[in-house]
Parts: sequence; structure tokens; C-alpha cells
Amino acid sequence: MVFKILVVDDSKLARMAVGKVLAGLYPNWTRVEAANADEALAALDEQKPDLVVVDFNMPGRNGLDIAAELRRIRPTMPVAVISANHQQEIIDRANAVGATFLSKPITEPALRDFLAGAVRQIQAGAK
Amino acid sequence: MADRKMRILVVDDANLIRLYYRRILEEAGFEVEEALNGIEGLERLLVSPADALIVDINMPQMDGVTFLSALRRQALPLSSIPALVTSTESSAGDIATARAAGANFYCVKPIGREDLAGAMAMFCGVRA
Amino acid sequence: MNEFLEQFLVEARELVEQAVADLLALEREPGDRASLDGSFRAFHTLKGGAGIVDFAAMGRAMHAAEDVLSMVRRGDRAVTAALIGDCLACLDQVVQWLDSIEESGELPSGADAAAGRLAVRFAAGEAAIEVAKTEAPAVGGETPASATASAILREQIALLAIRGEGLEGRIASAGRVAANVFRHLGRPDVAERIADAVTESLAGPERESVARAIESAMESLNAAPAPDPIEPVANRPDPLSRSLRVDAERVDALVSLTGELTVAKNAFRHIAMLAQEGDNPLSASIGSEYGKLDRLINGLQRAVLELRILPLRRVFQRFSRLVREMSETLARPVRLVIEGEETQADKAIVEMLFEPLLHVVRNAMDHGVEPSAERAAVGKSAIATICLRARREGEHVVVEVEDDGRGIDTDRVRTVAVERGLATFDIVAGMSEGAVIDLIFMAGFSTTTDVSDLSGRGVGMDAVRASIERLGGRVQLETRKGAGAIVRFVLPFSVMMTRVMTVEAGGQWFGIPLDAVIETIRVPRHEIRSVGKAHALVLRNRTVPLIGLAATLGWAKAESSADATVVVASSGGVSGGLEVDRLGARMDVMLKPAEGLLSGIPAIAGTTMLGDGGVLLVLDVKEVFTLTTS
Repeated sequence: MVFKILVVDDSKLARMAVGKVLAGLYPNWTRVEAANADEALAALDEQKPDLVVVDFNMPGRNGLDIAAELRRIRPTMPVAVISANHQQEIIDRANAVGATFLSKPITEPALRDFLAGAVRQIQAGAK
Repeated sequence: MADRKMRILVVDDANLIRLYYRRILEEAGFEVEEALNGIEGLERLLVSPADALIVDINMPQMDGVTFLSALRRQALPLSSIPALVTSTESSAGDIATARAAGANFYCVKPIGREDLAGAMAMFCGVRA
Repeated sequence: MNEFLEQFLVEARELVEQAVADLLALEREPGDRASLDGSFRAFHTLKGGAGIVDFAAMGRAMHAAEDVLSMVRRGDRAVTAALIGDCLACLDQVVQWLDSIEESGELPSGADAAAGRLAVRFAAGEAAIEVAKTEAPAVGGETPASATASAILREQIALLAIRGEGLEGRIASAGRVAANVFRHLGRPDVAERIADAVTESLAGPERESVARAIESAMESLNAAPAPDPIEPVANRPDPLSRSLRVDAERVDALVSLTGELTVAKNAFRHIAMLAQEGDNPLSASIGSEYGKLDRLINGLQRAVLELRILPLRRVFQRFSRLVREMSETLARPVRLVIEGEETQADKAIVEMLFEPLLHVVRNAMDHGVEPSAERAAVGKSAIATICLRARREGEHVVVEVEDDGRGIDTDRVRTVAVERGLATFDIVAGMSEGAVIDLIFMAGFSTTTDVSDLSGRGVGMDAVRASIERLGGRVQLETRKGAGAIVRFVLPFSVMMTRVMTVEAGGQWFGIPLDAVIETIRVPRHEIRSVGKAHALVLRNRTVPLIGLAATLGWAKAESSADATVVVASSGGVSGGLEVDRLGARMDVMLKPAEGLLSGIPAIAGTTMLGDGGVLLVLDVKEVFTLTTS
């Protein structure tokens, strides 16, 4: 199945890095990018992605805020928050809004696990 | 403020050093008390607080760093007594250790007459 | 270079720029949460980027800085000059690494050693700083007694930075010593302020007040009044603004293309004119379509030139750090005030402004600003001010460097000019103040006898003037003896790049605006007709007046060869052929309007300086033809 993933990060370099790992796992999926909260919400509306990956450390509204908002608008959509900061507090807060926590830099196994889980979730929801 | 004499406590195990400091400081108008090591030093301070201290790093029984750390953990105003630490060593590590223990200044021995009197005057707020 | 490394370079440079601004703002205002968070985030993102391109050494260095800033955020460490300096040194190293990557296309070797040194520096910042070397605001002109006082005060600041057991005792004793030092120096007022800061510090969570109180008290050690509060922080760019990152080369290509389009448009105009003259039935529609095309292309040209416009902030921000470093090196307290950095100018100007500005700022710091003792002696504030400002004035952008130093001593200038053989005693004696100041711009002029390593040798105001004039601007210098000086650059707002064809006539090179050129031809001499005193030639059944360029402008004409080289040109409805000796290259030039002697010569639209220092006279084609017919 082909899915559309939204990648939110103010650093284009970081978005490219996620894209690269994703291309290695699911080369035929489509990717949409956003650099901040506004763009992410606009993309959610216009592009209707199936799942989202958000960077925690961003200026303005941080990734957790955005994740919470996304979950509010689309409660069944899988969301992952990425951060180089592994503090338990952040992991807990991510889980609290229903998002998965992923460490930066993103590795194949970590992303694969998240994506596999997300796909299962989407397919279960679709039935 | 300048009416009473400022009291300096000299904590050093060497007789000669204590005598040397006493001479210089009394001549400069300070009152001087002595202690041979850290334990004695603390005892003295609890009885009659000083306006400033000169303490040597290397002493038996309780060395300068231990003494100073203990002093800084006391209650105010005892813990705020200005302390000049002296040593024969001058490495950055030693200075850092002394600072971490709460030294307000660090001098390498031997200390000159002017430097000693001057430093004490500044520590005690005595007009130049 | 792979695309990841390229993107990394682009982003890293931007992050470094932002981080420097934030760190300097934080230094000025240690309570500024926004700057603290901004700096922290910058290092964090740089660390992430380094990870993506596998630059482990840089990742380690960024992590060290990030840790330190994290401690500051938690309140475990105070913002001190030393800490800011360490973070800036870290960013400096990053820039060096980025430059290396850009040159070689690969990650730099030997980065591990540098990263290691930076990490040690951050760790050392916490403890083992030798007393004599502790960084603090530079206080000049000290006597031995006050040197000890300074040393003791600096040590208290270092002591205050330590956290852990016995904190209360350390704060109280450091404050007590600092206050007593000022009592000893006869400043009980300062002592009381510090004592208050101690009380405040012991009472509440705000632990930084004592360190800051001591630092600001040290600035008043030289018995001068406290300096005015620092100017507000630089404008932060709106993170949500809609902008696009475009390769500079692509914009330049667009500018070039637009230039070519203009030339093509003019060829079309010529045809439109011919159609009209020939009573061609299509002439009316051709004419009106040409009119539309003309407006559109002019609009395009303006819009494209605007793509190249950048805020001067880019250039100005580099000076925050430079002035700070120069101030430390020279041991002269100077603060930099920046105004109008959001003022915009063409990219070419913004890029080329750095060198001349650097020289002027260095001059001001090195020679303009007096040592603290001298300033104190004449009642000036201990900290000198250099103001870097920019504003838009009509079609110009004005950039000024103002200092409150000693100003220019015109008598000294006169003396030196005579000494260096630049003018004789009599001439100099008779000069007005303004003319004397102009002497400074002569090559070989400099009033310093010692070679300071900051200003360098041989780069004088003459070079600055040349650079600015090459940009199409001019330099002005104002001064009041004892009070300071202003160096002013008046620059064109948009770069009027004129594309010209160069031609040589009578031994002089001229530029003919390409948009006036229709074609170039070689005409055998026998085809040139005489019409009275004038000449003409027949071109496609039309008679075109022919003018010998050299002769018309009064230059000697070269020997005639068999064929004449003719540039057929048209401008403002007047057309004709210009005979020249030979054709040269086409080039883009920044036109500077003719001034002074040259403005008296008709038919010269302006001048531009060539790379070899020569001057190219650019022709006003319409005037050239008009001259000959009148």
C-alpha cells in the first residue's frame, strides 16, 4: 500500500535525512514537507497525509504542541515526535498526546518500527 | 567603621610564617590571631569571628581546603568571612580547587609585605 | 559535493549567524530568555546537522556548548563574558570548518583535535581559570594598587560562578570582599549597591545579581560616570516570513538575461521606427505592441534587480563580534551601536561594503578612540561609542561610521602631508579645513608612525574611496576636533548596471550603451560620402550620418586604414554611425554620473572605473549625434 507521510522540521537538512531513510524503506510512498506549525496544519488540510513525523526542537510552536494539535484534528492519525533530547520528560509528554517518540538521528530500524505500527493502525482503522 | 581594628585570623602550621604575617599586619594596624590547623581555626572563629582569614593549603590534621569548605557550609555570617588562601603551588588545578572550596583569593608563597597588607585592607574594607 | 553536505553548509551558516546575534544580545542582557533559548536551539540544530552529515567532531563541540547553555537555562550557571567568549569561539571554529568543507568538498581532517580543545575550554570555564587571566570588561589605565583590586574583583566573579555545597557562604563572602574592595577605594556608594545585590541574591532565586553588580561596578572603577544603557537588540527576523532560498548564480543569470532582453527590445524598437517611417500599414500596431513590451520589460528589469536587494544587517552584524574582539585586543573599551540595519541595498553593494567599512572601523578604534585615561582626562565616558548606521535617502543609501573619539587634527594632517611630499607647505597653509581633510584620501597618507597590527600597512583611505567609487558612490568625512568623526558613504540604492560595448578612438576607450547599438559594420573608405563638412554612408538604402568619434570629442584622429569600423547607434530618435579605431569587449558597468571636470564635456553620460584603474568614458549617444548636427 502506498501512503503519504508529512515531515515537519524547520531544518531542510533534517527533512532530507528523514526522506533518505524513508526512501530506503518505502521508496514508493509520497512525502510532504513543512517547516513550521502553520505549514504543517495547511499541509494536513490540503495534502491529507496518512501519518506525520514532527521534530521537537523548533522555534515558535514546538513539536509537542504541533503533535498535540494534529492528534486533536485527526485523532486516529499516527504521529511521531523526533528529538535528539532523550529526556524522559519529553518521551512521557509525547506519549501523553498519543505520539510515538523517536530519537534523532533517525535510524532505519527505528523508523521501520514506527511505520510498521502506523500502517497496522491505519489499516485497522480503515476497516 | 574604621574605629575598631580589623581582626585577621592566620591559619598556618609554620611558626615562622605566622610570626612574619603578624609583624606585617600589626604594623599595618590589624589585630592578629593564630591557629595551627583547620580544626583550631574553626574553633577560634566560633569563639570570636574574624574580619578576614589567611589560610594555608598544606596543613596537618585538617588542610586548608577542607577547613574552608567546612567554613562556607556554616550559617551566616560566619560562612561569609573573606578568605585568602596561600600555597607554594600555583597550578590551575590547585587554584580551581581552592576556588571551589570558597577561597576569595589565592596567593603563592612567599607573599610580599605590600601585597599582604594591601589584600587584607581590601578584604576588610579599610580605606587606602 | 553531495546534496546533504550542500544543504548542511547553507543551513549551518545561517544558524551560526543567528547564534552569534543571540549570544551577543545575551551578553548585553543576561536576563533575555529569548536570546538564551535562541542560542541554545542554534547549537542544538547545528549538532543535529553535524550528525546527519556524519561530522562527529563538530557534533561533540556543539554538544559541549549546548550543555553549558543548558546549565544556564536551568539557572546552574551565570552568563559571563567568559562563557559567551567560549561559545563564540566554538562558532568561529564551525565557520572555519564550513569554509574548509566548501573548498574541499569533504569533511575537514584534524577536526577532532580542535573539537577536543573546545570541549576542554568549556570544562575549564567552570573551574580552573588562572586568576590573572579571567576575562572581564576591559578596564584600562590601572595603577598597581588598582590592578590588585581588579584581580580580586575578577576572582569574586569567578567564585560566584561555582555551584554546589556552600553556595550561600561563597556568595556572601564574594559579595563582602567586593563591597570591601570598593570601600577601600573610597567608593562606599558602590559598596552599598553590591551589598544590596548580595541580600537580594541570598533572598531569592535570582543568583546572578551579585556577579553583574560587581561587573558594572568595575566599569566605574575609573571614576567616570556610568555609560548609557545599551541600545536595543537587533531586529529578529520573523520566523514565519515567506521567503525562498535561491542560488545567487541563478539570480545573476536572470539579471543577465534581462539585460539581453533589453537589447533585443531596442532592436525591435528600431524596426518599429522603420515601419513608421516607411508608412507600413502595420506600423501602428507594431508601435503599440512595442510600447507594451517596453513597459513590461522595464518592469521586469526593476523586479529582477530587486531580487538582488538585501538588508545591510548582513554586513553590520559581522561587526558586533569584530568590535568586541578589537576592544579586547586594544584594551580599549568600545561599544558598538548599530542603527538602521534593516535598510536595504543591492547585493553587490552589501557584499563589497565589508572591506571599506572594516578599514574605517579599524581606523576609528585604533586611532580615533583615545585610551581610557585620555578620555577620562577630558571628561568623556570610559566606554567609547562607535555607531554604525544606515538609512535610505531617495535614490541613495547612506552608511555612516561615527565615533566619539579624538576627531581629526587638521594641523597634524597638514604637517604629515608636507612631510610625505604630498603637497608643499605654502599650498597646505592656504587650504581650507575641508580641503585639508581631503588630503587624507591621497595615496600614501597616514598619520600613524607605528604600524599597529590591526590597521595593517598601506591600506589607506585612498583605497576606501576607490572601492566606494567603484560601487558608484562617494565618501564624505566630517570631524570635530576632540569630539569625534563621521565617515559617510553615499551609495546608489540600486545598481544601475549598464551593458556597454567598449570602443577605442583616438587612443581613448569609450563605452557605448548596448541598448543604443544597432549594429557594427566595416565600411570601405570609398563608400563614405561627404556632405559638406560632414560625412555619411548609405545603409540599406538609407543615408546615415557618420561621425568620427575621436574627432568629434576633440581627440586626435588615428590614421585611416582601408576600411572604417563603424558602430551604428540610435538613441532618443536620433541615429547615426560612429567611426571608431577598434572594437573592444562588452561589459556590465556601474555608471557613475560625470562630475567635476568631466561634466563639462558634452556627450559623456558618465564614467566607470575599469579593473586596471583606468577610466571608461560612457557616451550619451543622443548628445553625440546632436552635437554634430548643431
